[in-house]
Amino acid sequence: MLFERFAGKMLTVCLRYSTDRMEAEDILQDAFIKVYKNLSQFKFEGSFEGWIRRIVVNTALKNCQKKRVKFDEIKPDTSNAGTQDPLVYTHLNEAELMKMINCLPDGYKLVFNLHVIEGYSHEEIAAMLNIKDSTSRSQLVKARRYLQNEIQKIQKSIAV
Amino acid sequence: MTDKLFDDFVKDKLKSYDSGAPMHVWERIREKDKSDKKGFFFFRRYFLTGIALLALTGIAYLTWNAVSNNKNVKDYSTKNEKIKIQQENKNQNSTEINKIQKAQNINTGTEKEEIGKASNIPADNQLQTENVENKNNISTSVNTSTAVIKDSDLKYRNKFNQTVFNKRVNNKQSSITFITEDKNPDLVMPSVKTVVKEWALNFTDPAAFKFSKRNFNIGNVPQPNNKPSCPTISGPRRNDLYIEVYGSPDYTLRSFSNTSAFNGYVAQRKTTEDNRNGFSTGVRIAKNINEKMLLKAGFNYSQINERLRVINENEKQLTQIITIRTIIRAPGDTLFIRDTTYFEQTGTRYRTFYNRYRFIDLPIMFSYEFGNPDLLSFAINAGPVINIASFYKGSILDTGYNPVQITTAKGSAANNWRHNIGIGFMGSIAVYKRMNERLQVFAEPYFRYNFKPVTQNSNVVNQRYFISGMQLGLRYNLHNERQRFR
Repeated sequence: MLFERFAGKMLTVCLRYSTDRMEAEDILQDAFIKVYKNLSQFKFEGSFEGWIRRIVVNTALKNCQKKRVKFDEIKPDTSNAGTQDPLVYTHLNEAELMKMINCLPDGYKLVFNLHVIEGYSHEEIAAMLNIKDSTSRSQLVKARRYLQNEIQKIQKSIAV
Repeated sequence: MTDKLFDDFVKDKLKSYDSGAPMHVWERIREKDKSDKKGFFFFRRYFLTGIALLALTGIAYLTWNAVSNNKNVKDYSTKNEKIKIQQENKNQNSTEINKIQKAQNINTGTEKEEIGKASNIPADNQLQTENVENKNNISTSVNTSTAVIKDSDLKYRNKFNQTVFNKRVNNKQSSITFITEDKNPDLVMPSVKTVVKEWALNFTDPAAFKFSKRNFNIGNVPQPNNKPSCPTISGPRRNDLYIEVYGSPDYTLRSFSNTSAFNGYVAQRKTTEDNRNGFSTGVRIAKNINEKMLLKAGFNYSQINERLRVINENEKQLTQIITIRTIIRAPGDTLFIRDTTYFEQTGTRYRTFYNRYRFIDLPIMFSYEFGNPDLLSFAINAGPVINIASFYKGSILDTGYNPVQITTAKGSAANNWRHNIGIGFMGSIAVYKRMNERLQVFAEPYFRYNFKPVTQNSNVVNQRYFISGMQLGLRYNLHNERQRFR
């Protein structure tokens, strides 16, 4: 069944764009309703999962636009960024990573998800979110630094 | 680790990460799909029912008209009877045919009297009448002292038991109407004779008169001196005042428009609330404006019933257990030991709330009536409905999916509703069946559209109700006489 097969993965996508699980489930529900309604429009030109993922991401973005996401500037602590122990990454599981991404400010989270995981370019992100390319780039850099710092904190706690 | 490696690491980790399919979401999707189909079905059913009702009403009306007309035509064509009306003109000015000054004598005699042929009437005094329906020329003869009308002059016998004669005098189309309560046309004339004798007057326009067994009317006629004032040419005016009492089983349609709530909130509301039946009852006064139009106004009370079912999974129930033990160590030495323990139970909690939404309204409707008032008549009604007050009792889900009581206090939460929903529109089609001279029963399918939502302006969702139902009631005529004079 379509839902059983893809709902788990798509819920992960929704969770990355939402503040809590309830909101993510709402997005998932809306997205799958769209999928079922527009199933006939799938042209078998790409992967079916990719098509569903695009619908889910678009639905999630629409939801974010309703909330009027602010692309705030925060000052990440970048003093020791880039010196992480590779072992930390091997110990880091998906749930922890998800938790860290969800802790990102909304603007960072959106750009990071769209660029790093969904693979959109900065130009595409700028068009989708109605922001400048430079804003997208700076938000990505800051998001990345933010996450690396969080990982470093985990590294320190493991060392202790 | 470079940025590229970091990105790849995150992507690999999360790209295929499965958070587990939430099957209750699937249930919600199925429910929504079902309710959407249901909504469409209901809309289509109401639409088709409305069309069918309109079609049936139209067919019934046309059939009734056709049967009535055919019957009259048949009656007059099969009976080879002729009616002769002689009017003696007291006024000596006989040169103008359009001045029949006085009818002195009506020579009806027996019911089967011979009528003088039109051919022996002077040509300049001949009145030509057009029979529109039968496409036959009808002639009516009038001379200075005698007016002769053949049975072929009868144009039609209409639904009000009026026998109408059409005449053309000096290119002026006029009509003479006999009104009788008897269906047998043979019985028309004696009463006509009496009336005409009684009301023999000077006419400046010979065609502009109308008389009946009970009422005799002359209109558009300059009245000679020393004559009593006459009723209008249109006859006694309708002067009805009805009181209508009705009750109706209702079904309510509901619409949501999401202003600032999560998309899932509306879906959750739709899946948890159902059973929107209800009823309405009211009383109204109807007064005719003219022969066919009525103005109706009154009070209407309607109630919508709704059921909210909330299922809380993983509900924890904490039970406090206090155990008191009494130990009697010696007479007079009693020890009480009190133990308090807690028992936590996890399960699914089902809660059902029965909501009642009540509205008091002032409907003002314009009504167009047609059909046979003595048998079966129909009306098309439309007009505004002004809400006087609205009352709500019950609970709905808030944006956190917790049941909260509906209130009319100011606020932007989902449970802040209006005390007054303003103006709506109501349309209906009614069928009236006469029971006796004053009483009629009616059935009236109606639809009410509310322009304003029940929720307040700043609410997270806008929620509106549209009520449809079938009013069944009684109509009593308080003033059962027609107005004779202006």
